[in-house]
Amino acid sequence: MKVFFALPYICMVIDPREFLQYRFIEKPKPSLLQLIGEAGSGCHRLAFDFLKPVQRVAWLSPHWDLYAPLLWKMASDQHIDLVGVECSDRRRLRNLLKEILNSGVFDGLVLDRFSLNAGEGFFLQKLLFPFAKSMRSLVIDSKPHSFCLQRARLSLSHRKFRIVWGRGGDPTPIYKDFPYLTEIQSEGSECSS
Amino acid sequence: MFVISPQFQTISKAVMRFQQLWIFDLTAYHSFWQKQVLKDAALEKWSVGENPWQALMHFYGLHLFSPLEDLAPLARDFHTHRKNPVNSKNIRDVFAAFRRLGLLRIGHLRRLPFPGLQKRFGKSWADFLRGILTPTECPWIWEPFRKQDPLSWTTDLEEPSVDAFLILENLMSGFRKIAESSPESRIQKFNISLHLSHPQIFEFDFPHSISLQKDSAWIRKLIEEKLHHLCLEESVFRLRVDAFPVELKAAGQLSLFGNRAENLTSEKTRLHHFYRRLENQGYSIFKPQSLPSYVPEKSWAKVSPLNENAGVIVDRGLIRPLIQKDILPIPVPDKSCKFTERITWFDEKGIEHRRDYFMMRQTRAWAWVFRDKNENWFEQGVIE
Repeated sequence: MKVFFALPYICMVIDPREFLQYRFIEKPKPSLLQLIGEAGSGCHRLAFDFLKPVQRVAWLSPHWDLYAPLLWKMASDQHIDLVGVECSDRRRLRNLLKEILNSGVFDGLVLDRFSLNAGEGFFLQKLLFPFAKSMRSLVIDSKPHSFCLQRARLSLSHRKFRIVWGRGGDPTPIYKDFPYLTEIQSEGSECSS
Repeated sequence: MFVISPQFQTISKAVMRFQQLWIFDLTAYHSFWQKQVLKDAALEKWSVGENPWQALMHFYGLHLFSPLEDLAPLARDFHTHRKNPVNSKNIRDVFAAFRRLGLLRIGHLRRLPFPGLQKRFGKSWADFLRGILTPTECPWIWEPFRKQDPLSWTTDLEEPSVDAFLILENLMSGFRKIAESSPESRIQKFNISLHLSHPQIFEFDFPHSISLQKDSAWIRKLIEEKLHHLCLEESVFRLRVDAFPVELKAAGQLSLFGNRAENLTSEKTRLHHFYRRLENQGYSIFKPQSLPSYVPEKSWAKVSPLNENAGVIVDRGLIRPLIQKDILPIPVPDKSCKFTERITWFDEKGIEHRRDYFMMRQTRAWAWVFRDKNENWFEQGVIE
């Protein structure tokens, strides 16, 4: 009985709509996107399209095998200031991530083929929480990770990239032209040995 | 040598604030000047010590035989200064715990090991007690105080006047000039002085923390209100404005980019600091620089981002695959290949080299392969 007497008074103090609003406010989650695909699937070529809009990006890789002039040209075409970081020592990766995020100079981060384990992934996710709105992060790996809120699987057919959202997007396949392949296939002469 | 005084002194440029006290670092000075300061210290009753801990102990009248309760004021000030999560109840509890352990003098604390103290009372207390008991071994976190001189402006009116509007406009032009001279400054208070013909000065303090750039309307309103209530019988011939900039907070944080002074610096400077910091830690951080060669693996080099030419890409040789690995010999392909590019060059010995690049479909990707002059095949990358 006492509860029924108290309820109107509680309602007088707190507006129920306001109460519900406070209750269901969610903290913004970090934008951690994964592109799933092996080398040659288009994850690197289309990375900046998924990162947009960003101004300064750190591209982290354990072993750098990308053709940097082309990558930097792609970045500059999209007005992105790109910096490459090579970190082959796995034990120093967490420190590197901390340094990059705490520096506050980057608004984009690409982790290229690190094959992160769950511990490292959730560590990254925790680090990214304060930067949920200001930082866009991209993980490129061949296996899907549960710590990424959005996942897209990429592959390269004979002429086009195929993008299928596995999580956090429309699962209908999207096709994108790959001009380099189209041009070579239409103009290049064949050589059979 | 360190000196502690309740008032600000001009004995050293290395100064820090500890609650209401000033700590002066004289270690860089010659012994002659240190002796001179010691003479003054004896007269002025300043506290002197080999390090800040000893100077603080001297100021608070503490030594190892002092009753343990006498340490409480210093502990309270220390934790407040360091912003440690310690309140007065916690201080009482800790000293009560010491009493229960039978510790009556400050020196008795030496019986307790520091790791045990840290485990029982936390790192804040362990740091404090380490400084008190072993002052030479415990470093003092030095947070330099940057004293800022007031920004002043004075003008003589062309004709002495009692017109409040004229005075207001002149004062506002003074504020504008101060703002132009130091665009980034935020002030903690400002004064205006009106010099009357008769040797009389009206001075008004405005203890408002405002920005000179953004809050000019507010400044105008404040002065307007003050002048509105003022009844001038004599005409004003001189105006003076003093603006006191906000004291920059000491940089006591461990993070390089965490303190406020760092945030005020330009983005470019921050970026350079960051690159240098990563390089000092041994990370390979780079941007590409184009080289004269057309050969893919020799056409670029990694350079530090601090380099002037870093990231400058020559617009050639860009219609190539994105993934380029180390060159790997492969057997003669049994599939058809699509020709993409031919490169021919001479090396230093005058020998001609040639590469015909092709793309070849593999199981899941397109490989980028080449055939050299001797009909040997190599794989160099993956098309992407």
